[in-house]
Amino acid sequence: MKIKQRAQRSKPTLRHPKRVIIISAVALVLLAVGSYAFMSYQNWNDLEKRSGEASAALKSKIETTLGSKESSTPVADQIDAIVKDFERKNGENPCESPRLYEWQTAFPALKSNKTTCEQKLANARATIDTLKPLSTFLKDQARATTVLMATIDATKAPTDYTAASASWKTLSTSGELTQTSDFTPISVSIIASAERISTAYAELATANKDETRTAFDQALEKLNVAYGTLVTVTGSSQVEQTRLVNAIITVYEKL
Amino acid sequence: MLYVNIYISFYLLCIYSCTYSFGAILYISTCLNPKFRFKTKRPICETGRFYLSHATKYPTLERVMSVKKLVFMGTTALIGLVLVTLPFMSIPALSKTEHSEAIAARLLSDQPFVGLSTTPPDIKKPDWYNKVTITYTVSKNGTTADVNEVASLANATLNDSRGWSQLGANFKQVASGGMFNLILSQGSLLPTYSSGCSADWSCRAGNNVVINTDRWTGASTAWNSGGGTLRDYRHMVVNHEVGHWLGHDHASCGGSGQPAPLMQQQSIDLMGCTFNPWPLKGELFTSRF
Repeated sequence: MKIKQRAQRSKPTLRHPKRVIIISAVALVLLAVGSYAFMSYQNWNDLEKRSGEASAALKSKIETTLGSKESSTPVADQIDAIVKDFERKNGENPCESPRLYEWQTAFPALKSNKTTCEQKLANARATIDTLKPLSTFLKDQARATTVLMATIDATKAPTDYTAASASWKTLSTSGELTQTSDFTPISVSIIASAERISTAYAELATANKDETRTAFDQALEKLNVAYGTLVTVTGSSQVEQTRLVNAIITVYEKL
Repeated sequence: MLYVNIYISFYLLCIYSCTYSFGAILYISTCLNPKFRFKTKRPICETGRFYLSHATKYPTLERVMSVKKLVFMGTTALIGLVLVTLPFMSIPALSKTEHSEAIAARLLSDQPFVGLSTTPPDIKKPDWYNKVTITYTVSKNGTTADVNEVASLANATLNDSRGWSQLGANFKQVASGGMFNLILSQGSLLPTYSSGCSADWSCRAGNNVVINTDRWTGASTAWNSGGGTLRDYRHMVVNHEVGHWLGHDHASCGGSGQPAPLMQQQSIDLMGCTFNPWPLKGELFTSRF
């Protein structure tokens, strides 16, 4: 009798496996939904964090690297390091969510999250985009200065005017005077000045050979004027550099 | 830097005194408070007694230490701590503008063009520059002699440091339009330049300095018999005729054995003087410039 009663008591669990399955399934679904909700929350939370980090990291890097007045590292190299660091960290779009969560941008709040992230990243990229031209400019400027200084030194007190003319002609055709960046207008001016100086020296050589006083005086005057144009070149280089720096500061302040 | 150190020292002192005050307040309010006497034997109170022993020297202290006063003292200590901390926290922080200015200054610090000397080079005037340039043409007339040889020797003679260049003149041969014309002419054609010119000798007529081919190739009897060289004769005849163009008349021998003045007619007779193809010091003048 006891055995029968015991068997009757245990029957419901065995008789209704469907209920167990439903309960399990519901539990699983709830678990899955819960997990998905939690992971979504994590994703959007991370996105907000990442977007802030990209911008803040760049800002911090700029401040620590370029905020110091005394540094033996050339500015162009410092800029390159900043750009390299940023591109390494933000190679992939950090505002891009996995497809599993991307659809959630249909919710205005999450879309706003993504928009904010993209805006911050755009500001950071804009800063990088303004830093790159300055780096190129400074490198071009350094190369031009080297060749220009070498030519100026070589023709400081020339006795052979033909050789001096050739030196300046070589400078005007030098590959060091690149014409592919913001430095182009300055390169063009240097080339023009170098050609004028070369021509003046050639005329000086001719006047000296012919021993023609008037022609010698005219060539000398021409030479002084041509050298004067070099001052304008250096001035315009500073103006261009200031323009590039101002552009950087403008976008930096938006970070 | 000194101010920062003083400030930090002051700050640490405040932290210490605030902590000490808190400790004292807690100790008095718990370990010495009659309501909490049961706690006095706890190790913390034993430790507190050691560090805050001075508090026990004031027996009235525990009596006056009401809860209100403790709260007031605690709040005052907290406000003091905040007031001390706030300005200190603001010291290292740079404002946005200061950061921008620092970055801009750094970015503009690399200007290699600044300091680049663009001063025109110091061109020294060549020697010829301060001399008067006298241009001349060289040609020949009715002779087969080599005119290039005449041109070469005439240029060397005229610009020789012993010659007329001592006047500060620079003689320069030009193709045309010279200030005078140096002509190597057949002797028989010389009278055509001027009635005063002889077929035997060289001559200057106006801007024509005419060298007789016979004299150019063979000097003169007097010169040759005296042992003079042809090269010296050529120097002499060029200098002599150009001397006429410069405004000199003929001169005479100054004395036996003395060098003959350039403007003496040395081709005809040395008159006791010695050969001299170059102007004497006394002859270094001109009416031309």
